[in-house]
Amino acid sequence: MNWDSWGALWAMGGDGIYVWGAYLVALVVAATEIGILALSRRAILAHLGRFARIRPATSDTEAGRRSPLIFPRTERVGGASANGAAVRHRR
Amino acid sequence: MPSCSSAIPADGIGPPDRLERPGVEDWYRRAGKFAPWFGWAAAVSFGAAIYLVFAAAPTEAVRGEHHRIAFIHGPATWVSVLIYVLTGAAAAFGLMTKQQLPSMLASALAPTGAMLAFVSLWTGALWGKPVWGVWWVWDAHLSSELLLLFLFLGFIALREAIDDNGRADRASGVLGLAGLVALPVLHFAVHWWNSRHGHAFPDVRIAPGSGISSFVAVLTMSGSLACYALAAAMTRLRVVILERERSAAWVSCERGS
Repeated sequence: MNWDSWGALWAMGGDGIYVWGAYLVALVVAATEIGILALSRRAILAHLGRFARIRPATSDTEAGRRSPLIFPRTERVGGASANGAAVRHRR
Repeated sequence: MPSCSSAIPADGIGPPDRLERPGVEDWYRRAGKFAPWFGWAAAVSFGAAIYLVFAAAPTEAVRGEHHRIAFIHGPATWVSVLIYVLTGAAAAFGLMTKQQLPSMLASALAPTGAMLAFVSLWTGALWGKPVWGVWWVWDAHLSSELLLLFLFLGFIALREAIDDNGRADRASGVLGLAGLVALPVLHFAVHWWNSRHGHAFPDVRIAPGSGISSFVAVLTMSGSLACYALAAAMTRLRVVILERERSAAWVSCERGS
């Protein structure tokens, strides 16, 4: 062991702010990335969940047979916005 | 409820414009299986590296305590370059083969590479201040790492600016290919030019008689950062796959898992 006390470990011979700052920034960056990843995964799963709630109505029910007319093919190809709007509208 | 094995798109009404891609689904599951292993490997080896750097490595008489910064600065730099090579190669492979998975992998790797390049620059500045007296100099090493960060940011920005995934794949594939060509030039330029940035890592025994050298500590830290980068990229690959394949039938079975 190189250090007599915790104080000596933190002080790092006068370079403490540089040495600990370097390791702290690495940990902060990693924690930020993990947090962003967790949030983005939660967001996409919530988005898919909204899809699933309207799916029973669009599979083989009356609403489902009508839906191609409400949301024509051209709108569907563009992405999820048409369906997202449908969820908000139906509630 | 449509069954999960159905080949009909998740909404049941859309055109089958996004066909089932078994390869993508396989890689989604594979990434989910291996990401925790790499994450734990990264955490354990980071703890071991911290022990080696702070408890085992002696204070260097010549260079003082700030040499301990090099144990994270070097590995962060190397792994950021490695991630850049992987990103460029995956993007270029996606461009050449017109497959989606390599392009998805490239877009999953780039943010992690940018973060490692940022860590490299920041720790380098924290080393430069006590040693050189300045945070930054326009040296070949420092400038090329800054360029690497900008290449990563440019890659991400280019993808974000294009809504259509196919066009984003092609554009970022060209950028990745150009970056791969530039990288060896950068590398040799750094070694040809006279630089005040040190290269060699001293082969110091960090515990007398143990045979463990500072090289082992650097290697442990590099392994830890590489495992972390892989775990983060795999986790992001899963998010990217879900976002891009959202209308595939198998995706609708992934909710809550």
